[in-house]
Amino acid sequence: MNAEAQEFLGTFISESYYFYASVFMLLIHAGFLAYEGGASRTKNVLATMVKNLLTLSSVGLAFFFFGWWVYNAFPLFPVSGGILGPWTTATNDTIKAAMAVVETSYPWSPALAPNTADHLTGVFFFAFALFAMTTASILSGALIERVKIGAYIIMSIILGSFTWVVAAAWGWNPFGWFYTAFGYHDFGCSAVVHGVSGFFTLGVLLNLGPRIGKYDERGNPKPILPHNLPLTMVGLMLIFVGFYAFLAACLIFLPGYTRETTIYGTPMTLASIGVNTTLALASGIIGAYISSKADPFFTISGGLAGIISVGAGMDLYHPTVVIVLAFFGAFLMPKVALFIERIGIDDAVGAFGVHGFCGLLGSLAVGVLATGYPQGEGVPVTGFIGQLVPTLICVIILGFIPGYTTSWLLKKLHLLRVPRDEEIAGLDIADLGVEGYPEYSMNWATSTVTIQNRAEAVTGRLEPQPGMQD
Amino acid sequence: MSSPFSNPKEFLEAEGPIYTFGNNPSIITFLLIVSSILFLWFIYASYKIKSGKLPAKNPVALSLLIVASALSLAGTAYNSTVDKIHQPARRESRVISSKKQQWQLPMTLIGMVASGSLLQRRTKNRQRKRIKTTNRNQHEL
Repeated sequence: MNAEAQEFLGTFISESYYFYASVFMLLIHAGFLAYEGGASRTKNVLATMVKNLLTLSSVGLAFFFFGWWVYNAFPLFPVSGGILGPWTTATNDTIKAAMAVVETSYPWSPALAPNTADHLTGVFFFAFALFAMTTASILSGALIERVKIGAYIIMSIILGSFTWVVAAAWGWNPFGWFYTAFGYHDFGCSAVVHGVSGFFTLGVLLNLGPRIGKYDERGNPKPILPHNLPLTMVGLMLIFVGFYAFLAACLIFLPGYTRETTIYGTPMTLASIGVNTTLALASGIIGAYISSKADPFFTISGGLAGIISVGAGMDLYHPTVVIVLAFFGAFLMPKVALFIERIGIDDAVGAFGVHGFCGLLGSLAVGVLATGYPQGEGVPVTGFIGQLVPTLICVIILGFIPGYTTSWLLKKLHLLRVPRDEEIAGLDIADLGVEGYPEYSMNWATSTVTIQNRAEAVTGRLEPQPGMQD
Repeated sequence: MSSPFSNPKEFLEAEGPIYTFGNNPSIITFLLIVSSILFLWFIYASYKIKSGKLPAKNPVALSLLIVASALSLAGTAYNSTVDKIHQPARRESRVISSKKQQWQLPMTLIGMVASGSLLQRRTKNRQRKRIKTTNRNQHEL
């Protein structure tokens, strides 16, 4: 094989790796679709699933229009530079290096179009667009059965294509000031994705209010059960599969590289992701199972809670650290979710407990369990304060405040929540004009008639018909 | 500090382990023990928890049985390791015998489970036979 062919092979392997990792990440969305659809009531199942599909569209396009540019343009702002764009003049080496990437991220850039000179910008865009969609999907589950589709689309664009992307630019970009100024380390996006989206969701839920019937007259929560718990469980299994791909896509391997690195340029192995994700999943399920006393919904969510709790330091943790930390995070998750419910916040799928709380925990844990790691020349070592300050910025400034403010504005404009009669009738009919299970109601009617017939046959008012005996 | 590295060059060019507490095996051992306890707790809880309620059975005896079994297995593993360390001259034969032991251990466990179930079956069969005989006798009478 000649040198040119070898060089191309390196490019093709990188291109293929990120392409297929991103395709597998789409399983997260198949999972969210099933998970949230199963968690809703029958009258809302289609609307819930369609809302999920629309996330792909709204965030996918918005990420092309400005999200990808935000990721590359915001790393220096506001600490060591401005927002980078066509107006920027490169004055030092850092800005010159950053600008080379910024110029490939404009929607009109030839790097994103079919271009034999650039195989990699497009697959990185694809991978990041999938990260963005995942982040926005975390919001969708918590709001089911009462949010207007338009309001959800606006909020998903703000979260998925802007606030999360700013967090990633600051905390997950090699030029980002969380990293360069604090030594922040968040390999699997515990705070950058999950912390931001979990706290954004909390802010929205405060303005959205609970579903009708969720609380009694005294304010005590009443259970609104999922209409299809098995579907919900299958959905979470798909999310787990997608998560392996999500974490694998956090690895950097480019043509000419002689080793795998994190996005911060530190060494890592794909094998450690395989081991640690598996252990976090297993340990998380156990933690939630024990803590929730075998509640099926919390038990399976525990797998996700475990992975998120260890995500930030997964490239560094020894497997025993992963087992203990994932157990701890998943053990506390049901308690957090129930506390949130008790104080009057109706989070339909426990998104804050899983993503907000475990994301916060996972990011802070690096400051305790992986402290003292040197990263790059001139970059501070990992430590608790270096994790705490950026994490708080992620969850409060980029998560809670934008979520609360956006939903408050939509509420004031009467654009946030569906009218009461639509909520009672169900959003499938109100929004889409069709039922998710048209035969279901017929079966229900038939079985009601059968029961009535049986009752009448027993009392002697009706001759028993064939098939009534069973 | 949980990092085994003191400067960026050492970490960025590391060949070999890079994991947390890599320079402190006692913490890894401690965490391994904690992990094992969590796992045993899970097995114990899987008997104990039923729809959020405690069953009337006594789970303490069961948990003691599980812990005793785990300790006995750990003891076997430890003894074989100690033998290997203290008898380097007979290393080859020891490796063969320990391989044999490793191969034999699961087989022994399977054998124990199988014989246990066989005994149970025999007991059940005897009970069935007894019931059949009693019924026959009753019919004959």
